[in-house]
Amino acid sequence: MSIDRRPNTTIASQALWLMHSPFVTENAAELAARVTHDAGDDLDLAIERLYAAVLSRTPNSRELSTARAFLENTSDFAALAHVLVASSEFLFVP
Amino acid sequence: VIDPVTPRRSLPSRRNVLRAAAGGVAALAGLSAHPLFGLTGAGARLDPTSNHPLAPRRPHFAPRAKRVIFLFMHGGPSQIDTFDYKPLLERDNGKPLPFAKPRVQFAETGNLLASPWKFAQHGQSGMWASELFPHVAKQIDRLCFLKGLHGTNPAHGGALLALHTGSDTFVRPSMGSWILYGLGTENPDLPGFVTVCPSLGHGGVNNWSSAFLPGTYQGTPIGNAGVPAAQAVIEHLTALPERAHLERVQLDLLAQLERAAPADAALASARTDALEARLASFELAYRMQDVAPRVLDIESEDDATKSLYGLDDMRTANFGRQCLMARRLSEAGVRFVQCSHSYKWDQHGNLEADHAKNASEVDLPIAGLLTDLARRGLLDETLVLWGGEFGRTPTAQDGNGRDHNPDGFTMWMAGGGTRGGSEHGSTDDYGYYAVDKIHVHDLHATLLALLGLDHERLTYRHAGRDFRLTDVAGVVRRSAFA
Repeated sequence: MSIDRRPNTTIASQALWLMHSPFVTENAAELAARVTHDAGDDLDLAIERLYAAVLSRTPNSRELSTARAFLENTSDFAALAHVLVASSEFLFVP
Repeated sequence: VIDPVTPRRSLPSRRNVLRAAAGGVAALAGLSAHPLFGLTGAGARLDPTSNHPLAPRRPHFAPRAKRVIFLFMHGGPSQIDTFDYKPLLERDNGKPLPFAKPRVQFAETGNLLASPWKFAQHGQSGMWASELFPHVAKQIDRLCFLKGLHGTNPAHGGALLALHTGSDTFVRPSMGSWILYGLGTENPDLPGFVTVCPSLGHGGVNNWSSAFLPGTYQGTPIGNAGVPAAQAVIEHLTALPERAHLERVQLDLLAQLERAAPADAALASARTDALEARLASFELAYRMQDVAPRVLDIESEDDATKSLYGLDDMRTANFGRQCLMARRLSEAGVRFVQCSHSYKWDQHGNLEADHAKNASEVDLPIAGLLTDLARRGLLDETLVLWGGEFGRTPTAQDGNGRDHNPDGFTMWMAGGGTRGGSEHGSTDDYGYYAVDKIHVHDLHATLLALLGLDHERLTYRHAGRDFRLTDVAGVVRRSAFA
């Protein structure tokens, strides 16, 4: 934690916490389970619900296709939720 | 809520963006100077090809040392029972101190108490050491003693903060943070400032915090004082092996999403550096999980080295492990490593048994560290600093104890361009008050000078003025230089 100027916002130990702590990974997994359950088989709807839940907005078309490509590659919706939770848009005022 | 957009000199702040958007372009003037080095005119300049905050930076003048290992003896080891030999204290045992005690004392003390340990001269330099440090004493010609140290605060918390940050009144950056800010790091895959098993009390995190310096310069703790060194780890360091590939893909996605420009162009330009720095911290974290476990893999050392540090003995294994970690981190290029022998040296009573026990835990590992650094050719460029937050009184407390004494104490340096086999500063005939004085600010100024940094020019602008590790004080002890 630091104050005043923050041109170098986070340090590695904070990043490690966001990447590996059970608190973050478990919450991301639960979030993923919730939105995929709510959206049924509709993957785009699941991504939209994820954006709504984490960032309180809808994804733009590029974000939607990026997310879809990530899921085709990894088949891991919780991993997608984890990335959004680690994003600066979720953690900081944009 | 944390504002990610605040640097003043190269990045437009939110206020500047608003002003610029309103036509006030003057707000953007003068933003080309590097934000991370508060030097005006001549001085160190960051390599223009790199804007990474931890990029190695040229010091102000030729450095004698490249990195620091600070062996912190928390609690206050007694100068008059270790290295500051006082024959008159021996002679006048039990008599009153023949001059006034300080006006401000931590607690009442009685009459003079002779050291229970015998002193002898060692090495070619013939400098004195007590029986408490038989192994370190064998290397006395490598040591550069600072014997007239003094501070102001007679309580542990204030004294720790003053030693670590230069201030016992306000939250200020740790000396490790200042040094990292001044010099950058030699290894981009590790944090540049690491503290091994630090104490969580007596200032705690403020002793390794970057305070108003950017968070990048904060110390990274490995374990804490409540954890045996064998179990000290960097928290959340590694992903499950089967997730390593997925994590790479995740970080690429994170970078892709973060770098997508927001619709507002002014906001986008203001965010760029902050976001890049944040992404860089994730990349460092990602690389660290590969590099740090290998650097911290003590088991890869051969048995001879392990026993050099006392890993094969219950008494010395814990601090020995810390010292060996310190050598490995330092060798890997970590700029400032601290090892804490935590809060053990506070003998208000039971001096004889407990100081002996404390010394027996650190003496061999410290000697091992010096030997190991020297045989690897690292001692010349690695500055080892030993000492506590204050010393102890020559007058007795509780029969067989000594009180805190910030008015005169001893630290020593080794390697890093210091003059081995020499001593600087002095205390009175009983070791109570510094006579040839070296203030804690002077210690800091001297450390920075050994690293090639001018303590008056290593500044950072905060809250409307430039700040220094040494505030408005600090005299470099040049006689300590080789």
